[in-house]
Amino acid sequence: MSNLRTGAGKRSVQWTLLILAVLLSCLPVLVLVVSSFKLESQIFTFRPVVLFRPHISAYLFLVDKFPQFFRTLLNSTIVTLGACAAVLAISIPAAYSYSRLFSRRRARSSYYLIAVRMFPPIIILIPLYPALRAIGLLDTYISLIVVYAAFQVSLSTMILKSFLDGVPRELDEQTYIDGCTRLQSFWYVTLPALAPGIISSAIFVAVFAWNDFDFAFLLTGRHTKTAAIMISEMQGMVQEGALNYGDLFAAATIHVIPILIFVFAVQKWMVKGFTVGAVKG
Amino acid sequence: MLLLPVMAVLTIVILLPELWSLFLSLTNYSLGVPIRFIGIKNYVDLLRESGFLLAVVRNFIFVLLVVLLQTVYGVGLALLLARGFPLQKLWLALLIVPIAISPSVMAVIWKYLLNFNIGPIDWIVQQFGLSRIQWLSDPRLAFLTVSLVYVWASTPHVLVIVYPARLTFPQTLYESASVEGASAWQTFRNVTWPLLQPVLSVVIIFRIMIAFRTFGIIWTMTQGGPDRSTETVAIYLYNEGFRYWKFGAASAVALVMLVLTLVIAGGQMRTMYRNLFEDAS
Repeated sequence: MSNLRTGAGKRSVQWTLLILAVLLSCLPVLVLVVSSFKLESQIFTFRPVVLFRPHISAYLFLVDKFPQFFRTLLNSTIVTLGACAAVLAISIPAAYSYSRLFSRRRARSSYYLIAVRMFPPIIILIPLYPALRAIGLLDTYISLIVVYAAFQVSLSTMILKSFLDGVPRELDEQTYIDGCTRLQSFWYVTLPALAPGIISSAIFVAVFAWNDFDFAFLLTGRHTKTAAIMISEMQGMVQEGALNYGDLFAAATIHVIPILIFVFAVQKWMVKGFTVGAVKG
Repeated sequence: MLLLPVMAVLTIVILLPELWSLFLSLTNYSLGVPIRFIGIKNYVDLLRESGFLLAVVRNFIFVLLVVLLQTVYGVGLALLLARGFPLQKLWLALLIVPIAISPSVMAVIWKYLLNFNIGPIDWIVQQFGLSRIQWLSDPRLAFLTVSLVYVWASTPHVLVIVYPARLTFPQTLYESASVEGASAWQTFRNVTWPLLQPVLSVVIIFRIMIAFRTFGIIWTMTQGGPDRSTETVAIYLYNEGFRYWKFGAASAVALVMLVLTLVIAGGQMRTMYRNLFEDAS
């Protein structure tokens, strides 16, 4: 009987800790989302307003008076999709090569990928910024996409290689017997089997590109400014009194929701990628 | 052939700029000034510059503090979650929410929550009969505040690696520990801890490396202030390069940063290489 009681006691402690940890992770984000539906007067009180009728006035304001935000959201979408495409186009062949065409010399070349992953992004901006400026590539999509790709191809190659190692070679060999070329066999057999790996590495690129502050802060300008940078500027405007808190919260909510849904949807593959990325690669 | 694109991108975006930066660090290069070779003057100046030395010390304290906290908290969460709960996957998904949030949105959230005049956290503090706290504008406190926000943001990165690793630990060891009547502490000490060690050492080195280069979250929260109290090496580097346009001096800082990173994590390269090719060789 007493055993049962301590067992139940232990269980409730575990539940309490879990709930507290979940609240700590989610409550700050939830407060942001909820507050974006408040009126400014409901935000601007010291005593928090918990129950209120939701208003969408902040969102209407963004649409009516602050359309530049949506332009930056479009920019974020373009560079995120561009970076995903670029990284996959570069790292799928590389991963295939490391997984299927093994030679010691080829394997040694991966030291280059490993070493480069250790470079802090910010130190590359010091030489890159004046160089891009000199050749007129500041504030272009292409420079941002290429820089994102360079910092993500290494992880992506490692994730894809590890997934490819799990796709049985017999599958390819079977198709050679059927008279397929290597390319055909790759396209029709290996690539579909690699789908989870592709999703897994695309998540990392997408989250990185969508959320990036360090690079976009310096490499974008009037034409290519991403939403992450815009939100940071809007925060400055709020502090100067040129913008309402509610409008800032609405913009931040719009920025967070798509990536949050994406991460939720693909969580299974994400965890696998982390394991490969941090422990293996 | 298949490796050509990845090698090309890494060389053009990272290696060549880094070599160029190495050269720049020996010059007085600044925007609009002709480049002049000045030997190791930039490095010598750095060693005399108390602002830089303080940034290095501050950076090490930051790394020590946040890696310690995120490891203890992250491992704790992983072990707790591994106890098994209904809706296990949902809890994991909710715990890793901060992974999907960009630094600029984090700044929006936390600068509001910690706001002296309208922040809910100071309201809670006051309900406990304490006086309100200047979380971000008090130079003695801002460093700790930013560190804690960083821990909030980065703990999920520990969780997503340690939790799947914990699930691979053989259940039979835990069963025999429980048959022999081992206490929770003894089980942790003799079963979990030894199994945890390999993954933990990799995670810790990775987290040290990442924490060391932190820029976005500190910049968006405090820009290194107030009174330079949150100025880490990355912030110092940014100011040298992009506030004072001293690219020569900034390159020297960048190189010091790279060397420190390689000292911290360079030893991991062999492990990463071996893990990447463990099946093939």
